[in-house]
Amino acid sequence: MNAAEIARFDELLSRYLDDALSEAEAAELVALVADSGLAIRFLELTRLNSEIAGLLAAPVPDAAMVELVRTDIQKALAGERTGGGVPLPFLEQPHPPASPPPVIPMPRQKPRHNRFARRALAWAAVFFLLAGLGAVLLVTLTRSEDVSTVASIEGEVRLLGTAGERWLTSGKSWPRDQKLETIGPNSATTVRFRDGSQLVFSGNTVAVNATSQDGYRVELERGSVQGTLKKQPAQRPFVLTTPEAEAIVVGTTFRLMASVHHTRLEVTKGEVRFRRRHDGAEVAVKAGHYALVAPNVPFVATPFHPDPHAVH
Amino acid sequence: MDDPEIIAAVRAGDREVFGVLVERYQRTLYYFVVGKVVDDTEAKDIVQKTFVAAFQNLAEFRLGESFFAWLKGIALNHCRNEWRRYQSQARLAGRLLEEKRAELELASFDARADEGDGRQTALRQCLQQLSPHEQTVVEMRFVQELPLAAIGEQLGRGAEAARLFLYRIRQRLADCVKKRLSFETS
Repeated sequence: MNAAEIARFDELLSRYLDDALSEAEAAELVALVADSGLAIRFLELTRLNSEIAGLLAAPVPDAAMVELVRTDIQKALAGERTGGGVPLPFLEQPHPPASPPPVIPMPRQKPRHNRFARRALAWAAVFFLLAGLGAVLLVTLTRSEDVSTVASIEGEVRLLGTAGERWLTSGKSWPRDQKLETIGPNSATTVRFRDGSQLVFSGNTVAVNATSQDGYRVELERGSVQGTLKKQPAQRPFVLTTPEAEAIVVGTTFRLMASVHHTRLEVTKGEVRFRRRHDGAEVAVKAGHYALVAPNVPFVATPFHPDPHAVH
Repeated sequence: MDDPEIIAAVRAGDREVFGVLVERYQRTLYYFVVGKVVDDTEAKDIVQKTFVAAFQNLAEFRLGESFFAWLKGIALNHCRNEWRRYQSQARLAGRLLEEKRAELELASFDARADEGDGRQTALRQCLQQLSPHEQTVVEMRFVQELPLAAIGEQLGRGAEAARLFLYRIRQRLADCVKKRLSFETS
């Protein structure tokens, strides 16, 4: 590997780490990492990048993680019982519970007052802590207008509200109930939400910020939006609507396109619940799949690249 | 209550007390997982999945062994599966570089099983050694997640200059971590 190749590798890797790599450059980088020394350096820096981000990110609070795990365990237990799965061995000891399926927390069958009271107090404290945090978040969300900020703009983007029309610039907020419009095919804008979720609106797109205390909500009237969303609370998903459909997102990467009579959703990571508005039909669109809401088209999730070995 | 007491209580049907183990280990486990998957959101998901899997398989845990070591083993399996999923997604989407990255990660994954918290400690120390100006740029990129153009603007230069500046910081951090770890080993 000569100095020029190493310099080129550094240039491409730098672009990759900052999401500024073209497809042709990506192919060039693939060829370069065939060299074992450069492959090691590539891994070293991509890992370091993830480590820095992870180290500087706010960790999940203990009480919130306890609650998340508890909810998942409850779901798993309910699923195993209703689905007829094999019960977890320790669940039956020492006092096998009668139906219905157990839930967490389970009422104690042998009263041990001191420990029970301590535990109940602990859970009550966790509950009040979470309720308090929820209230603070709710108040903050309700009060602040700056739930979303324009991170970047290409071409011309304007904002239409009750006070009239104005041009948007980077760093400005996108207030609730205001309509954002990207003018012409070459304009685009990236909007970042308070939790780090990001939507990129392509040219000729019109969308309204309909966020409320029920969660983030964006109404896409026409055009195309690509989203990378942080994990949302299950009870307050990020909802994107079009005249024909609703995409209910808990945290994933996707693209939603709305034209006059159809809406198309493509999911590249995670899963999105996609609902047809006129009859309420719903499909789960997983990574690598798309679904279309359009007249006379079956409402199903379809892989981007159909399996050639599938039986038709 | 120590770990074996809690585990015995959960096995006996007292599921609420499992929350104590989650509180006790979730942050340490998060820092163990960070860097072994693509991003911090994924790391948080894996921590959550690990505790659920630990609860579901608690009957298999051998009392007397380290509960945290057992958790780490479960988490590593989840990380490995996550890279496999990432690889197949990349293949499906025709993203060769991402596919290659997953391939390289999987090929060297077993060697990372014994990684302690030395790497994290070294990285923290190296970050602290950066100048205040460099620390601000790192924060703009990794905490505020500003685009390069906005960082360049704040630096009074363009997006390209911001990218090069960030890359030099990354290179220095990588070399600093490596030196600290080799010093520790020797």
